[in-house]
Amino acid sequence: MQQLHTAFPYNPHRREREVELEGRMVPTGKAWGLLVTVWIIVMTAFLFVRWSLVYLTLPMLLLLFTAVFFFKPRIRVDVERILPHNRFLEGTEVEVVLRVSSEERIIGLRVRDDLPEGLKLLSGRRDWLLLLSKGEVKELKYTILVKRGVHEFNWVELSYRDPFGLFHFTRRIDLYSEVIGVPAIEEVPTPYSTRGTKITVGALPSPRVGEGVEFHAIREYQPGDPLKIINWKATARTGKIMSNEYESERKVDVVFVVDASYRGELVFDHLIRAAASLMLNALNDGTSFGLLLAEDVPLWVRPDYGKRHFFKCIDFLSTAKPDRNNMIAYQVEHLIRSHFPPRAQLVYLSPLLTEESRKALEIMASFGYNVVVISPNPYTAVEPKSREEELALRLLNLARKALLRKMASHGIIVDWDVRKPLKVAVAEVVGL
Amino acid sequence: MKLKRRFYSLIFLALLFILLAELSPWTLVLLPVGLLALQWYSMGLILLFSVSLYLIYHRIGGIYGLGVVSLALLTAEAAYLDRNEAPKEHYLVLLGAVLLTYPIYTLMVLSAGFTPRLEATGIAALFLVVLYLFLKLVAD
Repeated sequence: MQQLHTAFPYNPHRREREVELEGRMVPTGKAWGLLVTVWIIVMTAFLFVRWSLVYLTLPMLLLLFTAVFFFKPRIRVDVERILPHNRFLEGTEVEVVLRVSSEERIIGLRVRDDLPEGLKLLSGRRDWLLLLSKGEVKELKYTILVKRGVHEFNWVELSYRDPFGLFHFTRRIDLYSEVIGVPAIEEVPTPYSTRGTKITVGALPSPRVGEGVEFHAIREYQPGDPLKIINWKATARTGKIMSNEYESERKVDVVFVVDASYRGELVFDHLIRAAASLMLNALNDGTSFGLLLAEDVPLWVRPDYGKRHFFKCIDFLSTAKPDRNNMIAYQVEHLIRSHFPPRAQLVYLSPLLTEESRKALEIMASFGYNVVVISPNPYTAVEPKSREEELALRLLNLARKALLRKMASHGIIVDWDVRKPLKVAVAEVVGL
Repeated sequence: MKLKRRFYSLIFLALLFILLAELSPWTLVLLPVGLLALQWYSMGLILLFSVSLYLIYHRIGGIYGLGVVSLALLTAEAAYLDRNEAPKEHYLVLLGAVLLTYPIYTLMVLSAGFTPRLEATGIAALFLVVLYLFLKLVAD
């Protein structure tokens, strides 16, 4: 987690606007309420034939006149939104600061900040009533809880009011800031191997036979082989010229296929966290990796190396949303034929709830790819509220287990109980 | 439990009910409305109207009547400022605006001594016309 956080350079995220507000005085609902009350009191005085008591409305009328007296037709303010960064791990608490200043005295300014839907207000408030002296700068703070996704702050609403809030003019000004909630990342072991016979942690040998440093096997000498690879001891033992075979140090390409079907909405965040964690693992291993985000419009990122590529993929994962895509099998088949690198290691992240998602796994296996499936179990994300629900969940779990057993021939399937950390689920399956 | 809002309006509410209790203990039935006025402005307006209705019905005016109406208005307005955590200066402006009532009322009382009744009716009618014009100006 720390590693990801420090990898982002500190970049104070600010947006500033100087605004001149000008507008016609508009009575607020409060003013209408007061005026109606005045009217009713006047009518009541006439009704009871005590019209001389009409002067009881004097305090209210004077309040209205004072409000008008204090109202300015035009004001100028500077507004700035300050965020410490623009990328945060989901679940981070972030302090947002709105800095408001004015070149003139403003007796009543209501400021309301835009709060994107996916963000939760933890402390503070997002609307304030201010009195600004000439040249005074006020910092308005509140704390939000960041969720995964792209969250856009689009506006700040400035409402200039008299001190009692009886008249106003209100403008919503564009002030754009962006917060990206990146998926939380945990340390996970590498759940795949190039040959499927050994689970490795660290550098991965490639199945491609060629020059390298790792001894692989002995075979008969073939014309064209360099003399230095002849194994003289084996030649003497067998009577035939034998040469050594080595494994190449070239690492495999890993392709992450993320099933973004709405059926898996319950565990979608877990799915994305798992993809991000495995990507960080691949980055640390120095493995090249690509991403297929199987949304309604599929997103394909070609395999590549390095941190920049990693952050690009993480940005896409941050924005991923479950949708009504039911074409994953077609998308996978098309990309296997046209874009997937041969002999790549596929990591398929799917709750395997739809027929399409299961067909996609069959297609991957039928093309000869090694597939590791990380399948968060949606039934472990539900807390049963009654005995009936508990029984229903048990039945669904049994049906899922039977289904996964049937699918086991297509690859290694990690059935992830989301109440446990991913690394425990991986370790249980691959025996680390 | 820490309350996250101010309650300056309680001062005005307390003063209002001290004044009303002197009139009749029955006025204390308005206390629940007064307490609700601390939270909702509309309840503040109902309090203001109820108090005014009581005063008009019982022909209670003068400085005392204006004092009661002013305190009812101050309760409703100060509660609004409390809810919005308004700057302290806003309370002063509010108090100033309401206190202006008394010099104007004194002026009206003094000038009424020199005017015959018919003209006083004329002034009242003029007062209503001004109120109408003011409403129209604001609405436009």
